[in-house]
Amino acid sequence: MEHATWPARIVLIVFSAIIVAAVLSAQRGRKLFIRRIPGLTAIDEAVGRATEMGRPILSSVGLGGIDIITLQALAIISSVAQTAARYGNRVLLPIADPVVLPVAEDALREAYTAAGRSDIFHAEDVSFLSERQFAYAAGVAGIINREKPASLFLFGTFFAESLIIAENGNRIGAIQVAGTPSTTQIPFFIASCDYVIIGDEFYAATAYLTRQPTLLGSLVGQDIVKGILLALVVLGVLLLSFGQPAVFNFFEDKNLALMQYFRKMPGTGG
Amino acid sequence: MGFFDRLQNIDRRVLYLLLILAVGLPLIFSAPVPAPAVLPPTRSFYDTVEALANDPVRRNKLVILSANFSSSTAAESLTQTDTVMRHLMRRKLKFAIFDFVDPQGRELAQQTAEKLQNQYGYVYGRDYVNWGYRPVGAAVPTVKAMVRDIPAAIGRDITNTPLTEIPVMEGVKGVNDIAAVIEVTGSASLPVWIGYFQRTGREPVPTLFCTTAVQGPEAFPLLKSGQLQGMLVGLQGAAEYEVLLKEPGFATRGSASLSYAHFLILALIILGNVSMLLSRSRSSGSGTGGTR
Amino acid sequence: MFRPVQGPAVWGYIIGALVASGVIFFLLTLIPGRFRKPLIALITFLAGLFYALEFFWPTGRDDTNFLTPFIDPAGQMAQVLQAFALGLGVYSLVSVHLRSIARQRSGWGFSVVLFAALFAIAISGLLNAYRPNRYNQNVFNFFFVGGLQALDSTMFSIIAFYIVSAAYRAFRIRSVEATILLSSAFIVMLGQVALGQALTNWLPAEGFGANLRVENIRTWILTRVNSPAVLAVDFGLGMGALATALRLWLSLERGSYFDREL
Repeated sequence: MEHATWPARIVLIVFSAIIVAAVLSAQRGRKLFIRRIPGLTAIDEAVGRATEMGRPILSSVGLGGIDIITLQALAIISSVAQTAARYGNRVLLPIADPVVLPVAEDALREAYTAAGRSDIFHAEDVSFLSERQFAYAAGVAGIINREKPASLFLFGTFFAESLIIAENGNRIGAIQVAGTPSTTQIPFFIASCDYVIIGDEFYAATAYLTRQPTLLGSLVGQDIVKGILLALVVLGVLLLSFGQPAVFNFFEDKNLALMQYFRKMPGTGG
Repeated sequence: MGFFDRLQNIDRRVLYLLLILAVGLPLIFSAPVPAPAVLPPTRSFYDTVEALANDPVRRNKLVILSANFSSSTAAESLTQTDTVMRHLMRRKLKFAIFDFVDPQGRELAQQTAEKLQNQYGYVYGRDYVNWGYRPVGAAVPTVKAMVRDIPAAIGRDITNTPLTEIPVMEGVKGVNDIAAVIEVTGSASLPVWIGYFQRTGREPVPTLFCTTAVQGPEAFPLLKSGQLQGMLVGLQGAAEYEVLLKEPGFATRGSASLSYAHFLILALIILGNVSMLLSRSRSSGSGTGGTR
Repeated sequence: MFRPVQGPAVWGYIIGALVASGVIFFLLTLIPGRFRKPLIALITFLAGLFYALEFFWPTGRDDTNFLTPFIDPAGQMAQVLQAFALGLGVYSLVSVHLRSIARQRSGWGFSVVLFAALFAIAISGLLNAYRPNRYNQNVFNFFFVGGLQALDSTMFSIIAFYIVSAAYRAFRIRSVEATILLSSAFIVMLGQVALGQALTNWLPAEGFGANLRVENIRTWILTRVNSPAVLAVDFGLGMGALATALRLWLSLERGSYFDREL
């Protein structure tokens, strides 16, 4: 879809308005509740353990460029870094995309400054390794085996390198917390990590860790919008089941035409 | 540590050795393994190519073979490219190799075409062309520009010849002259075709997908929604395709390796669980003051 | 929209762009601290607004609107920024490893290997592109095909070993959820390969009995259980991304994006 269709225009604008309204309402002091997310509760434990063992923490934001996923991952890792800074511990952050490098360095510097420990921040702990997937994976695996970090935090966009990193972390006995919107990589993280946050918990993480009203409000907005989506899905299923495909056509008519075209073609069994 | 405890904690180097044997031996000694069942996504991939070849209008259009992979996923992606290219050549469909993820894809697909061209009487430039590699950052603008004018968007092929001077490109202007797109990849490049190409012409362009076993499950909803007309998943998908083509090749041999490796993993999981249960029942049985 | 400039005028444009950038940088440093964040918020908003308007604004017959011609130049600007950032990345890499060699930290030999590989592939690539002959092509192929491609394949195949050790260690029936997970994984794995499919190929290929064939149960799990779950997770992720994007675009967090609230 190069440009918005009318359904996309209506749905996206209404959803955006609901989310913004929820944020503004929370900023005006509405009290909000957030459920416990085990993977995120474990962050303090993992940071504390690293400090006790006198070993650094390693984190990664994966292979993503400077997009929403990477920015959210950096926000989570910067929250981890603030906790680590309070304990006087190091956070290593190897980077795969050079555009992310200055932003990541700035995020960690701010985190250490906010915790009042800018003196122990080393810019070289945030380092560029390689844009190539497996060169990056090999580089991170090397750092894991040389520095022996006590905890690993893996948040961001991951592909096949996820298991290489997480298994090396597992081999040295590190506590590992991971979260990614890349759904195909979640099974690998579940097999290798101690805690995995799944799906949109990834976007709830900063709200959970900081309890800022803006972020909590945004989370409530997201949930309202998800509820509406769910209702639309149920409505669509009911209407289609009772022979009203007009709604389906309204959302996407060209796909249906494509499916029908291939049903008509000779020799097509699928 | 008791016997059952040891079975629960087998040294990982032993596991690795077992895997090498499970994968390597069937490849070397061509172990017998039954033909794989052809699953619906593979069947509809094959049927779509057949339907294109039987359609008097579409068979004269060009198929885009988008080789968006590198040598890392070659076992799956290159084998899929090989088997799909055989089918295109067998049915005398013209195709263009294109790549916007990794420059290796263009080279590997070209090598495959050169390997097969004599067998099927294909000639570079007359029956197929290689548009080469465009950097991933330029993928969306290039594909968008291809909708209206492919020769202008691509410019020259890998031999540095302008596309307008290549016989196979005669009559190929934009999206309406494309018979189908076949995307071979281990990355997330499919949305570029679905988002910016598939539905931009007079009729939607049939889109076929060759993906790795790991990425496969994510694409199943696209078959249901009609955005994909067929899909080969991993090496197994290629082996199923070889069954349909009745031409056993590397994928069929690889299918044996896959079978034995899967069974090794299943056996290890069973071993780990049985020894865990036995070790638990033994420790609760030998306990002196434990509650039962 | 913008046509490439040819001839000596290119240098005029390059020097002009450098001077203009220098002036903009200088002016930015003059802005008082309290105006910096509103300025960043304004630029963020305008940049986002461009893409949002282009996407939402109704289009004509050719599926374009008045902003569409500017999309490609905007994308090219992003590519130029990316190219400059690569220089930044290389600088970071080189400085870390030069320091490691200078101070002879443990493992400094690996840093030497890194520089050797960096120069080998860069020089052989340049020679192959600008002085193409059989010798240069062979040297380049030695590094690219013999080195890089082989290393790529090797790293990817290592995952198979990690899958074996991870599956053996993690798939234990410690709870009801783990047992369900294990059972479905078992069926999917059996239904995935020829040898597993052979276990039930005595069942009829058509009719009701065919539903019990392991490959059909596997397909049912993947398309009827896994796919809806993936879609549901994707819906949640999409809404999460939308909410995060809105917060950043409208600077609702009132600071830089990970800053404390003011």
